[in-house]
Amino acid sequence: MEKWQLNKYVRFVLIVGMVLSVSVMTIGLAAYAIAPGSYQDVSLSPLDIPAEIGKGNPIAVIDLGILFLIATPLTRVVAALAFYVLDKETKMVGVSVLILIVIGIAVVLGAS
Amino acid sequence: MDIITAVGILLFSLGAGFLGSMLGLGGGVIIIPSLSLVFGFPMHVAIGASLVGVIATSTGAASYYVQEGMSNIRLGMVLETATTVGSVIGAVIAVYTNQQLLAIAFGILLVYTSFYMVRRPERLAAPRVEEKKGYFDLAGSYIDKKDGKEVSYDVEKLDRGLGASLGAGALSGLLGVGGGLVKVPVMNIWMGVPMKAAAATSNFMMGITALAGAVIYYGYGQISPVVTGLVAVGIFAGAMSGSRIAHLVAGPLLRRLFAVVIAVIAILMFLKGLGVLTVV
Repeated sequence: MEKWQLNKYVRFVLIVGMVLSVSVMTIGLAAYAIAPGSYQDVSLSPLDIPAEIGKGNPIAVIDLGILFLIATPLTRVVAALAFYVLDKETKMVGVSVLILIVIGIAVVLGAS
Repeated sequence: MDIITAVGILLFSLGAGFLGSMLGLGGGVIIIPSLSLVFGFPMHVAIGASLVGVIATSTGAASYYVQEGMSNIRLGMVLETATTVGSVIGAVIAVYTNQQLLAIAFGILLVYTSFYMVRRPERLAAPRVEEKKGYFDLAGSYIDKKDGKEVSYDVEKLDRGLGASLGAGALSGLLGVGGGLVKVPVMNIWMGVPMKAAAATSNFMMGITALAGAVIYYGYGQISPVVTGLVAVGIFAGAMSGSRIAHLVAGPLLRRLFAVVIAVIAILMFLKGLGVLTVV
């Protein structure tokens, strides 16, 4: 496959991640502005976010937007990995997997 | 948080994203001193917000640079293997490091930034003379919008680039910056990548470098959602506009002005680190 195709896939992932995360964070910030001080400005565990959004907690909405943003570069590595697998580029598949492994270690360290 | 603080954080973040995307930096050199000195947030909160902000700069700017073919994705990903390792190490160290020590370390980084912005030597890339493929086939090309000509280049000294990227990653995790201050000159001077492609590739890489650190900060509860949300939204807007007008701006003047501002901030950070100054 050509270089511009990889660029196209990566750009698509970045745009989707950007729109999604900014939209969600903006909604959360607007909701927080309506009732500032009602909620503690402390990040929630990702597992608690859905339930807290259900309760109308704006901090949970902002957290969700932050997680979407954090996930965006990760998703573009996965997209590149899929591209390289289809293109049978063994070396770049190895590079992509190595990046994902290090991110995985960071997640484990953060969670612990 | 009152409305004036919120608007202030948004405005500073807008400026950070704007300048960062044009200069190949993540914007952390503006965000961290702003949050720490102007708004009085603890260094750890400032660094956590900055790391997420760096991802925002990277996402906003890279979406444009990738479309234009300026970011060398293959080179960026190969170097990311080193920056992510460095970032994880740096973030773990930072979580257990004293705030004043972090402020002094950041002050030293700012002095270097200021010096780099004034001097900023640029190596002009030698044109490709033959179609040779290195181990990862990292050679790149892009159309320079200034004169409409295609610029092709080879990538040299990958081993040195990987070593420097490890250091840039550690800097990112430790101090919450994008690491572009190290990556851009290394790619240009050591690896022979033209400055515009180096800045665009640096912007592309920053997202994944900062991600490794941001995940650890999130896990350790060092991310303040409201502050971080304001920083990210402001930076996005700045990065989107900055990357689009980068080629129209008089670079040398902008860099000198930026250098003066950074030098002043460096002095304030040193004073904070030494305990002389708490909040401006």
